[in-house]
Amino acid sequence: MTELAPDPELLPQADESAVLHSFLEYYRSVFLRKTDGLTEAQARTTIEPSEMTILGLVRHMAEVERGWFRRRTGGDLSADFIYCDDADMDRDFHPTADDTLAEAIETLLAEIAASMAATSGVAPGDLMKGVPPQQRIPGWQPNVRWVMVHMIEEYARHCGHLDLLRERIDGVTGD
Amino acid sequence: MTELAPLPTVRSAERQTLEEFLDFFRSIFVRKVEGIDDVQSRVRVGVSDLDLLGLARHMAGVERWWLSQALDGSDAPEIWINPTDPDDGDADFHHQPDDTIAEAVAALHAEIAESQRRVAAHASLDDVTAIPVGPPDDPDRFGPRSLRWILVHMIEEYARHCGHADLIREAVDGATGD
Repeated sequence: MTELAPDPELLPQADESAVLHSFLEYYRSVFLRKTDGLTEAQARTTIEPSEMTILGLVRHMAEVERGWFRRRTGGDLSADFIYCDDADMDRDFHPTADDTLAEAIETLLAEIAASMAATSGVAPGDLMKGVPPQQRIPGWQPNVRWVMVHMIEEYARHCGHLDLLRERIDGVTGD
Repeated sequence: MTELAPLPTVRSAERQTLEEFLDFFRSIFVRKVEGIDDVQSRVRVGVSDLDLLGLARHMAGVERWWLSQALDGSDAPEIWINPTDPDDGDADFHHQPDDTIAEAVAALHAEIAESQRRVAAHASLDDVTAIPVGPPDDPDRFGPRSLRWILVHMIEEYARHCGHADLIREAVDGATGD
């Protein structure tokens, strides 16, 4: 079982960087705990009419980690999409019958490690280094502060989805 | 219908970024709980007992707690009282048959406006709450917290409840997205 990261309540008056990293680390751990210990069938449970599944969400967050941190923040534009492609930009949410939760979690953990390397020593006011050539708005280049806050709310919102999915699967709630 | 707030600007200073993300998620959340009737506001999904009425009441109370009572030490009373159990700490979620979504949304709008007014009166994100917060029996967590901490917390609190509201609202009328 993934351990819960130290909760942000332990840093009640810290500086910007420490607070942002603390909330992000905490939410990554909440997200991973929600996906622990499930069978492949459980990972494909939905709350109709939504088509979201835990398997799809894990794959999505691996893709999102890579896109925002390794690729854009760190500037490694050689890091391509993991699951998505031009034919289906939502393929992270569209696993096949052969795709597994174990593979998705392993991939997410590897991307989180790459994200932490990409943000090490980076200040919130620094601009992201990589601007993908296919970006819709030419030259659109947020600072790392924006990326960090976005990732906190991205994880939090998807944890809200996981809350209801996981409770339906086996009654587990909370962080 | 409440308009979606502008997307947070991408190269701004800390305070502007936090305030813009919070206002953005406030607007997403309000849009999830607007435009439904009292029956729809009580729809549940899966096995969870959350509903949009309870969530709207909850966020009004969360706004008042963090940005009026905790930050400024306001003596504003609890918004929601359970008439069958005055000591119920979850009176926001435990609504009664005659409680309405219209009242909850109006309360939420009022609390958001009050929170925005109070935050604007603080010069620094390093300002701390007027009262200690957290579990009193845990010295590592009990004490004053900064306005910076509160704003980041409010962003993730709104975002997580928007996740709940996403699945509930889609079941109510098919509406998705921001």
